[in-house]
Amino acid sequence: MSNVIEARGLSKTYRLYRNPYGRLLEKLPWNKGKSYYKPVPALQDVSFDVARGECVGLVGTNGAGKSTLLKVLTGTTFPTAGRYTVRGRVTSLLELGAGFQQSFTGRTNIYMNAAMMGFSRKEAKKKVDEIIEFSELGDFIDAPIRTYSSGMSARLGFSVAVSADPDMLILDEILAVGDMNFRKKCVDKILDYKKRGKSLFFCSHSLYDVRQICDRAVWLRKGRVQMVSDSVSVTNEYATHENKIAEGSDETPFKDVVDAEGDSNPRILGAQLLDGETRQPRTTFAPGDSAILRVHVRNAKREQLTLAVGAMRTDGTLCFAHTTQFSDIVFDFEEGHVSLKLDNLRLLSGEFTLPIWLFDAQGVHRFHERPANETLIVQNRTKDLGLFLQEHSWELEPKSGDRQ
Amino acid sequence: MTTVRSFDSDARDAGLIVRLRALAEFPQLIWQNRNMVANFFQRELMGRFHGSLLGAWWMLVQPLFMFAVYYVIFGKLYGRGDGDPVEFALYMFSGVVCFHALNEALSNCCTIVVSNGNLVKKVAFPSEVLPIPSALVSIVLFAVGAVVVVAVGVTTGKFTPGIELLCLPIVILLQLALTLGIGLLLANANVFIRDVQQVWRIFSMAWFFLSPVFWHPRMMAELIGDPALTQLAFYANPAYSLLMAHRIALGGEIPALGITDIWWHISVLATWAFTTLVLGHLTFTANKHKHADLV
Repeated sequence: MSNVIEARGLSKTYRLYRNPYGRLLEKLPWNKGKSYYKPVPALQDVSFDVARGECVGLVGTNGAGKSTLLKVLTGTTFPTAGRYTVRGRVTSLLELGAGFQQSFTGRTNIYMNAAMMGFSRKEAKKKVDEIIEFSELGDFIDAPIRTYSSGMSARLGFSVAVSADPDMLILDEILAVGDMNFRKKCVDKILDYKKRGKSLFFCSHSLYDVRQICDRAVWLRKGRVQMVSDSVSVTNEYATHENKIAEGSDETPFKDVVDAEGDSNPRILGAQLLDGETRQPRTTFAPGDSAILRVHVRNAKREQLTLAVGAMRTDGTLCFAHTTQFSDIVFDFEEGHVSLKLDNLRLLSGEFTLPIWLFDAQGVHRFHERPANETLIVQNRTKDLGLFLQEHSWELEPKSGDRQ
Repeated sequence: MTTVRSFDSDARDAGLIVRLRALAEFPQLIWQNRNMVANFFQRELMGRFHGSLLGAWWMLVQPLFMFAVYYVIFGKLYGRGDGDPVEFALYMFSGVVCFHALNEALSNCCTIVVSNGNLVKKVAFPSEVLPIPSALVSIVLFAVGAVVVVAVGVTTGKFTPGIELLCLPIVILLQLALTLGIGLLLANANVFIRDVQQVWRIFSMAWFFLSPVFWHPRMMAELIGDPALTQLAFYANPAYSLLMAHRIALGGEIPALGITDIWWHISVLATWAFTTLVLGHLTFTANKHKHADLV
C-alpha cells in the first residue's frame, strides 16, 4: 500500500439554512418533510490517489471545492458521502498562522503551534532555533504577534508547519504570501522535501507553481473532478478552460452568425483547420507544428477581395491577424479556397478562435466576417508559460573574479 | 510510526459502542495531548494577567480583597446577629470562591468552540480537550481562594480543617469532571444555538442564588418545610454537594447547620460528575463533525 491518500467518491453537501433555527425546527416531528435548507454541493464524487513521494497539485476556479477538499482530507470537516484513507503523519497548512495568539510572542506561539501538531516541548525546543532562522524574523520573534505584518506571521506559520517534517504536507494557497525572497525559500524547502520522498498535496491558483512543483494535478470543477493527469496536461486544459470562462460564458462566441446562402455579396462559407504537413483535419497543435486554415469563399459578383485571419484567445486577446492585402494578394474567383499556412506555430497553451474577415481590395469595406468553425487548440508539452514562444537563448557571464 | 486515518461516511454512525470506547479513552486522549492542553492552560492563565503589573499575584489579591468586602458588608454591616462575622464571611467566601470558579469555567466553555473557530476549521485536533484548560484555570483560581480560606480560618480559629482536608484532591478532581461534563454539553450546544451562552448567563445567576452560597442548608430546610422535598432540592443541584464537600474539606464542618458527612456529599457529587461527563462527552463527540461547518 503505497498510496498516502486514497479518496473514493467523496461528496460534501453544505446545508444553507434560511435562518439559524431551521436546524432545530426541522428536527421537530410536526415539521417532517419540510425543507429548511438549501443544499449546496461543494464536492461531488471526488476520487483520486496520491502515491508516496508524489506531489499532486489541485487547481480549479474559486468555489470549485478546493478548500473543502483540503479540509476534508485534513479531517476538520467530514464528507457527507464517500471515504478516504490518509496514511502517515500529515501536516496541513490551510491557513498560515491559524491558531496564532495575537498577544503572545512569536516564540511562545511556536511552542503552542508545535503542541497542536503533537510535538512535545522537548522536540519543539530542538526545532525552535531552526524555525526562527527559517522565518527570518530575527529579534521580532520575542515581540507579540499582533505587532507582526501579515507577511511576517505567514512566514512564521510556514516555518512551523514545515519544521514538523511530516510524511505528507497539505498546503492551501500559501505560496502567494511573503516577498519574493521568502517565496523562493518556501519553494526550495518544498522541493527539498519532495526530494526526500515525502508527499505533497497542494492547491494553487498559480499554474506556474503547479507545473513546476507537481508531478500530477487534479482539476476540480464545480465540485467534481474534471481531470486527473500529469500536471502539464491538467494545467493546459485548465488554462484553456479558464480563458474561455474569462470570456463570460462557456459558449464559443460568434455562434449567432449564420450562413447567408444565396446572398450575392462575397461570403465566407466556412473554414477548416488542417495539419500543415498531412493536410488532414486537425484542431489540436503543439508549438512548432504547422497548421493550415482553409477558408471557403464565394464571390458571385467577382469583386476584388482580400481576406484576413486572426487568432483570438478566448479571453479576447487578439494574438495575431494577417491579411492577404499586406502580402499583395487580391483575388476575384467566383468560388474557391484561400488557405493561410501557419508555419512553426508560436502560440502557447490555449484555445483560440479564428476570426475571418472578407474585405475589398483596399481593406476598407468589410463584406463578411465570421469565425472559423473550429477553434485552434494549442497545448505545449514544455513548462513555458505565456502567450507565445519567444525565440530565445541564454548566456551566462560570471564576473571574472567569481571563477575560483 | 505509521498512522492511518480513515473516514468512511457509511460507517459514521458507528453507534454507541464506538462512542463509549472513545469515552473510555478520553483520559488517554487528554494525556496524549497534554502538551496542547498545557499550552492552552498556560495561555489562558497568562492571558488573564498578561502585561499587568502584579501579574499572577492578582490571583491572590482578588480573593483577599473579596474576603475583606464580605467580612465588612455581610459580616459586620449586614448585622447578622446570630453568627460570628468572621465565620459567616468565611462561609460565604468559601462558597463564592468555589461557585465562581465553576461558573466562570462554564461560561468560558459556552464559547470555547466558537471562539476557537479558526482552529476547529483549520487544524485537525481533538476539540473535546478544548474545555479542559478552562476547567484547569478555574481550579487554580479556586485553589488560591481555598488557601485564603484555610489561612484566615486557621489564624482566626473559625475554620479548622481536619482529616477531611485530605479529601480535597478528590473533591477538586470531581469538580474538574463536573466542569468538563457540563462544559462539553454547553460548548456543543452553543455551536448549534448561539443563544445558549445568553441563556446560560441568566441561568447561572439563578443557580448561584439557589445554591448554598449565601445561605445555610438549614435556612432553606426551614423555608421548604418538607424534609424529603428539601433533600430532593439539595441533591438535584450538583453545586450543593460540591459546595458542601469543599466547605467540610476546608474545615467548615458545622453539625449545627447540617453540614456534615463529607463522604455522602462526595458520592452525590461523584454521581453528578460522572453523569454529566458521560453525557457531555457523548453529545460532543457525536456532533463535533458538524462544528467546523458551523463556527
